[in-house]
Amino acid sequence: MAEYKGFAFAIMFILFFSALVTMIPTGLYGSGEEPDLVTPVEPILLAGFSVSENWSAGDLVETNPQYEYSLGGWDWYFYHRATGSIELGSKIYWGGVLYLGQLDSQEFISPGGENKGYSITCDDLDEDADNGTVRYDLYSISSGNSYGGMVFYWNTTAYTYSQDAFDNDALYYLHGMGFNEQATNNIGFLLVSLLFFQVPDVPAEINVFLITPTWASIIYILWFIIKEMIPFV
Amino acid sequence: MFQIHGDSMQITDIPSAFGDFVGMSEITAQIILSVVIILIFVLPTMYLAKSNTTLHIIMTFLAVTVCIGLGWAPFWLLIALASCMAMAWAFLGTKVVTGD
Repeated sequence: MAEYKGFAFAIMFILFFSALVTMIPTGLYGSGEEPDLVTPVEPILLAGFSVSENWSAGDLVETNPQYEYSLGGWDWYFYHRATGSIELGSKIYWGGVLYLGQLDSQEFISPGGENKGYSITCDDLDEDADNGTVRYDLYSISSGNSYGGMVFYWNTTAYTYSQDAFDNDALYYLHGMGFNEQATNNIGFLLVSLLFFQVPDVPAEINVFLITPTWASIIYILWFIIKEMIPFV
Repeated sequence: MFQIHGDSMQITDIPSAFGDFVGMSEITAQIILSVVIILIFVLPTMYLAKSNTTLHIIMTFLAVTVCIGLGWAPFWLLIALASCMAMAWAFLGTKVVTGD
């Protein structure tokens, strides 16, 4: 009888916990942080960003000019190669855990609404920039989903062209995302992340405490079902 | 480096400003201010509805939600609360189902 009580408790705990977590509104992440920028930009360029990552040309790894970071629940690779191409892609994890080297490239949509493709150059930045700042909206090539925006900015008093700023490590990048574009807006992603101890912005130890009852319930349910299926136990 | 919004202060900056004013870390200031918000919600409820534990729990949950929405408390606190509530409801549900 105690085992049946345990089984009923485990089932109900999983159902209630899943229902409560799915009802959490995504806006409860707060209003987001204000990014620190080296050169002031028009606030409208940062509109809608609740989280952001900013770096400079000097932060790019020299051997294969790239910058790796995590934002909005995804892992990103940013490239600004010596050949001049600028690309951004998020890591594709198979089953949510296995990374095999594939990236989901982003298309850059200019302020004028022109799709610049998945690779842009400094010439594109100079063409689209207004006083040394430009924001491109990002859309996934594979899914078409929005992944926020990327702002490029440099001090035009010192460098007229973005390529000159890049050569002198004075070209700055900012990738920002709004609430609805973050991975945790997807409740399924949040639950899977909880189960595999990978919730963004949550310490791993806290994640263990949060999800231990759920894993215990899952394991108890599996054990009970297997035990009931074996008549001689 | 400097902030974009100059001299204006956002509500999310209040713990930082409070911590600077009294000389404590921002995290400590966030905890203190969150406790103040929770007590503002819960103490009147406890006084006016003394024996209604359910109402106390609801008001505590709402107060913590407000603190998380303001950015003063971490988001995982809400998941922890959801876990505690799910356990409580699972206990009640088990009693109802098994009749004990």
